[in-house]
Amino acid sequence: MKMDKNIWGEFKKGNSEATSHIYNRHVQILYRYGKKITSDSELIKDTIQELFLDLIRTRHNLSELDNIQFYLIKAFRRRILAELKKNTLVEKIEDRTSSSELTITYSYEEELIRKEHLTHREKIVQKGLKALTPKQREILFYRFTCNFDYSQICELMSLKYDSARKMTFRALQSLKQCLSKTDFNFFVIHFQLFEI
Amino acid sequence: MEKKYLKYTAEELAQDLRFIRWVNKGENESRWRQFVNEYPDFELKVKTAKKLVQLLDDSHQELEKQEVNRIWKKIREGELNQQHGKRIQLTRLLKYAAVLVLLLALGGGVSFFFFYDSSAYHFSGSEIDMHSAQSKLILSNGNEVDLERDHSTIALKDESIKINNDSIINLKQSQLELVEEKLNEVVVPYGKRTELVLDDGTKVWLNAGSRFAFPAKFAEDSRTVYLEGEAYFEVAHNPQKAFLVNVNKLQVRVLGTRFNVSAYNSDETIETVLIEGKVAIKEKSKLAAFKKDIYLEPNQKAIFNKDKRNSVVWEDSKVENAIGWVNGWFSFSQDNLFHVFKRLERYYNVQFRYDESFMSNELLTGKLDMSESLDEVLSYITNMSAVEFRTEKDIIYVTKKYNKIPLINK
Repeated sequence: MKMDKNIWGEFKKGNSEATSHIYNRHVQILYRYGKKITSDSELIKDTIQELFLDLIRTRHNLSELDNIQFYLIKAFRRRILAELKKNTLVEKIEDRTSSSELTITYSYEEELIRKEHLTHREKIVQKGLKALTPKQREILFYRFTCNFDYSQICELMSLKYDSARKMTFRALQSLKQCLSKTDFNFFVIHFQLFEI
Repeated sequence: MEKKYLKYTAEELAQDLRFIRWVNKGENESRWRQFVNEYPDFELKVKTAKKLVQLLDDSHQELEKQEVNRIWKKIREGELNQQHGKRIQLTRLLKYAAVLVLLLALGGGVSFFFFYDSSAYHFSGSEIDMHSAQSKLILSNGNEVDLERDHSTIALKDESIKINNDSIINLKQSQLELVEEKLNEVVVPYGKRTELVLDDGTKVWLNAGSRFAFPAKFAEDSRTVYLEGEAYFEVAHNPQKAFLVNVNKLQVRVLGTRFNVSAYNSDETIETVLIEGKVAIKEKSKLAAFKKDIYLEPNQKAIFNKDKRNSVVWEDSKVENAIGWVNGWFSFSQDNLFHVFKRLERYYNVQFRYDESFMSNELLTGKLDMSESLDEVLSYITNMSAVEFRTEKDIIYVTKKYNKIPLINK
């Protein structure tokens, strides 16, 4: 990612165009990532803002890097975890007490939650998604939405390469089994969209 | 595609980054399709893997453009404060105050230009005063034609020029050479407007205080025009001949589209707003040799800062506001008072005066019907803001309104 390297270099030098470029390019993924972790959009937006302001403030001391998205996700993860921890202490939400774990919810899952009546198939898929551990969910997000490679995922989550691979494989295996129990009607829509 | 994929299980395939990018982003679509067609046995696995990827895909929950811009503004505000040495905690309260500062300081941007362009143009009508009484057409042979009306029309067709739907100038009879370098010019002083139809069918609306240069017939390879001031273009589609609008420092390149360019010499910025189609903007300077073009999508606005030589691209859900003047109204949204004054000065050919100490960070949102008299327009502004006006001939003195301060601000 030579381009990332150059842009980051420009950003460090104080080029405000580079800042704007980085922001516009990555704000959506950060927001989506945030939405996976918490439903509090205001917290997500504030965190994004603070993250960028800190980057700008310390820009001269930042090290060089060649994958901006990875760096931002990493920094954002650290921040939002700290924020959530703070909130948990205040509000005593049982759910988020586990120290450094993120609970990622998938958009399809949310759709299902909103629906009042689920078909048999949808129930099976929901069950399959529910069965995923928080770690598996997080890995899947990095892999499928951020397209990170395994070494990056390991760095983010302090995992060993083998266990990251294994976790992913098991998650996909169990989801595949769920899918095969259904006849995928709900995917027809997705496929059609994709074919266009 | 590599054969190794044939040995993959559906799970392995589903987590392959190239496969994911194909399913989610359509990368290498034709190569993948061909590959699947070549190996029909492979198809079932592909289907299963695709379903997995789609199940885990996450295209929902995009942050709305408005919010993207709002957060960016706050980051810029925060940066400005950092530069002043005081790090303040940003709250959601700063809505009003800092936006004025921001508008003046719009610095950063997704700006990428390149190439040096020596095509600077000197308007032969540049000595004509913008406060003069009539719009003028200056033909390439130097003849000047007065465009008598406040709102004139000029139409080029088959090598003749039709003015205000009556008088026709035959360019051939006027012994004008129809070569590209010889340009005709229109000068539209303050208080006037002019509408043009060019040789290729492109329509151009010129706002008050503008100069525009165009050939009677376009060259073979491109359609080049020059602008100083503000114009709205509806460019006739022709993919073989790019339409090039040159303004001081920038060039806007289009194939067929609707957009507005505001490039007054007295403004700090050059603004390009795209309504429909696609345009590319590049900086015309040696120093910009390494900058890439900016590409605008519909409903986006590029603001180029002439001093800093950089651009910002803004999502603008109200692009129609930018071309309101074409239909005789002027709408503004969250614009500061001085900006509103500037536009009125050009439109009504008047001048606003205020003390150096006069400060206002009021932001106005509204719509003014410019067919009404200046007095009426001013009384609207008085009603919605904290200022008062006193008019003496063409000069309008601005003072703060005391006692009652109804702020219009949403």
